[in-house]
Amino acid sequence: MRDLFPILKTIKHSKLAPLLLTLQVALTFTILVNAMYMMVTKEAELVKPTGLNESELFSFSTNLVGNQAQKSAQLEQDLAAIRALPSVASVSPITGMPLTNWGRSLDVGLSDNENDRITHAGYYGSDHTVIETLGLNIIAGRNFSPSDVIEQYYDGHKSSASVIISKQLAAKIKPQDWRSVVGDTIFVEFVPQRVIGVVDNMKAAWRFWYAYDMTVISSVREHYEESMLVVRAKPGQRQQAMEATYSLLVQQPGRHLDNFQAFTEIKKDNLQADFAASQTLKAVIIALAFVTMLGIFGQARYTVIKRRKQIGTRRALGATRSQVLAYLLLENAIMMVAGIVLGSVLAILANMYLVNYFALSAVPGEYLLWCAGAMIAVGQLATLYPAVMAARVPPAIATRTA
Amino acid sequence: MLGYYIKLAILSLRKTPFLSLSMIATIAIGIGAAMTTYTVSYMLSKDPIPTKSDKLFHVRLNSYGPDKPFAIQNGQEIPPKIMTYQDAMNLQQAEPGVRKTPLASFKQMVRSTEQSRVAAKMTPIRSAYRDFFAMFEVPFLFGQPWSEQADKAGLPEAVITRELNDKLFNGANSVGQGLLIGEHQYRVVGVIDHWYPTPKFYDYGVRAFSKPRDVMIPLQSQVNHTFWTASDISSRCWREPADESFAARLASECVWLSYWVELGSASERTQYLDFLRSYSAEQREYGRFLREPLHQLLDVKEYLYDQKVLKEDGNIAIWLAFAFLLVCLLNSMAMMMAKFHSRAGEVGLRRAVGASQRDIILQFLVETCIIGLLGGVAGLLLAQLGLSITAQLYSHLYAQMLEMTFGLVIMTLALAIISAMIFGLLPTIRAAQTQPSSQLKSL
Repeated sequence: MRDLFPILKTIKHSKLAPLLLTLQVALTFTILVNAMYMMVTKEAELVKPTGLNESELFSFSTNLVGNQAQKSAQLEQDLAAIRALPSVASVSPITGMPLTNWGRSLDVGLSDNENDRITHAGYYGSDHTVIETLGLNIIAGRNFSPSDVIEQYYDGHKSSASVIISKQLAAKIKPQDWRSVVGDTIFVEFVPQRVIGVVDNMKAAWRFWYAYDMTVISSVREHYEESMLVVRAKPGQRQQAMEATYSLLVQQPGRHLDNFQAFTEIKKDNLQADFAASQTLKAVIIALAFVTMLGIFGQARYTVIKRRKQIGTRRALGATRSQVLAYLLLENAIMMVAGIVLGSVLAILANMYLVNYFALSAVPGEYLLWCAGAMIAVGQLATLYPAVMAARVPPAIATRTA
Repeated sequence: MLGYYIKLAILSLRKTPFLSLSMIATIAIGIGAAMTTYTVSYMLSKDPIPTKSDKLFHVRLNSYGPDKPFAIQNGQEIPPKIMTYQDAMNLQQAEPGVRKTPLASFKQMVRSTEQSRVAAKMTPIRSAYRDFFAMFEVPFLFGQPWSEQADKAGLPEAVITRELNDKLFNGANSVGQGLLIGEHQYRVVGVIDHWYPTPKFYDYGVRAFSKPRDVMIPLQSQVNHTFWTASDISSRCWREPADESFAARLASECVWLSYWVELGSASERTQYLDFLRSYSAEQREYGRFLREPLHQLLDVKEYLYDQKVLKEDGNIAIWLAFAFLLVCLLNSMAMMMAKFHSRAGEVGLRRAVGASQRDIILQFLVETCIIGLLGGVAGLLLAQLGLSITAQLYSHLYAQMLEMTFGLVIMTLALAIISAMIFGLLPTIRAAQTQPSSQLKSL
């Protein structure tokens, strides 16, 4: 530490180069903090579970034709035929799938009075097989039984029926004791529905929606012209199940099959933008670290070459190798710290701008600390080799000219 | 003299290979990142049809019912963005000299007549009138647009894209071949060559960055076969159709068609607006169009803003990329500083034997210029790599649209050289200020 004052004096003497390095570190730090924070936020989005048995599910929409009775019969036939396939474990009709950005959002309240509205929730209409098909976990109350199922052409949420809700919705309705919601009547779009069970996790169709975690699954089965079915394959047989289902149905003249997709694909499509953004940010962070190291390394190496004679003189006057090493590392650390202090101010300003204009959340303070630590480590690492080179300068060099 | 400086610069760069490479790599990474992001955002917001973007117009008529407006935007009523079938047909018959087309879309199972049912794929299909191809400058690989007769009678004729032609017919000339759309047999009359208008200006904003649809058919043949996909087309009705039949939908007040016209000159434009005015007045006499007559013509750019494809606000990625470039340039500036500083002896000697400060500045500028050029070339390669990775990451941006234009290549090189020279200026001036005497002493 006794090198501190000589270093500060040197920096004061040759203002420009250290100033440049400080500025460069500050700017790097600004970008690093914000990029790092955005990346961590995106990564967290990517691993959030949906509560479904994601790897075994696929879904598609298909057309039902004829009058209502014919449509209902055709749906029943389709379900039976798919269920009979050897690779299929379970199949259900459903009005939509999570993460597809296509579905129903309905008001949920405690009475049919508009003022008692509590929140919105995603709505899925299906039958007694749906909990098993999706792989949901009932944590209170009971599953649907066949006698709960009602059939309707379209807009099944307009019929009163039994519903199972997500835990998040239960907790929103009954914040003190979410379990007690079982047996209650809630009003979904002003229609009374009896809550018979709660599942631990089920998502709505839109990931950025405030009510993404709040869902109502109803026992009203619909047989609309464009109906959706969700299939759960036996473990490890999703590909076979998809092929078998497709060729089974497409054989029928006039049959439409649309959005025929594994759930993992739906999820991938939905997360694509976030995935790409997190990959881009990762690349930025790596390139930033690389460029900074290259810059510091290049400069440090040059200053060592430039100061060979001075270093030799110090060594001749009794400085040990480790003292020379420490001197150069300390010199780098001082400039890094100065850069980081300036950079913190810039980072916070940049973050405020980002929060205002791009609706991002503010960077938590610990990111500043983590990034500061990382920057100093990068700086020290980049200085290490030139510093070792300096330590190897023989004292005898002091006696030679140039 | 310039040749001599170039020789000196190359000599100097080779003398310190590591530092030179570091400077070039640093500039290259910065330029690569900045130009990748810039190219993406440039491609997303460029003029998709430069020769005609001020000649093509999206037509809007206020056909909405007396009770409620279609929508309120910035406190003002706006006409429906889409049109009823009856209005589209009326506009189709009027103003004979003008190229015009309604647009609709649906999805159907498509396969070639050779293929089995299992091979059929759900395919998004565009329906239009034949003027579509001439208006939007669609290039043909084989065949041509369907005939006028097909427009009128709704003959089952189809135009397909090169990609679909490759898939179904192995790239051979498929004109005359059979195509099954649903249960209906169509005949291929034309194959579209590579055509990727970016953004896809004639579609809904949410589809602006998807490829054009693989199959196109005459609108009347969609009508004849009653093709309809509720989830594929935006349709709104201020009064419900009389019943659920397709005929009732056609006769209804439901809006579901986009409508485009091509108007070459200002006078044609005025004339067409006059026509829309008199059409609205005429419809009013029949008891329709009871609201304000808010007919509009939106050119391509106005339409893209309307559909929120183009936006006024800044782009976070561009900011990030250029801040990153700045870091890289500061980095290479610091390295130049170190490098030029260490050459004080050489500068002193040159000054002592008669070189002026200007000569020194020129010499070092040539050197930074070469560093910038090399960094730019390497940055260009990095940007190509960056673009191909971006195209893979963002599947909605297809690879063909993310190619750098010649202008962007020149811009990349210019940016590299100019920024290297600007950031090299300070080190250069510092080096030129070296006193001849102070350096000669230590030699």
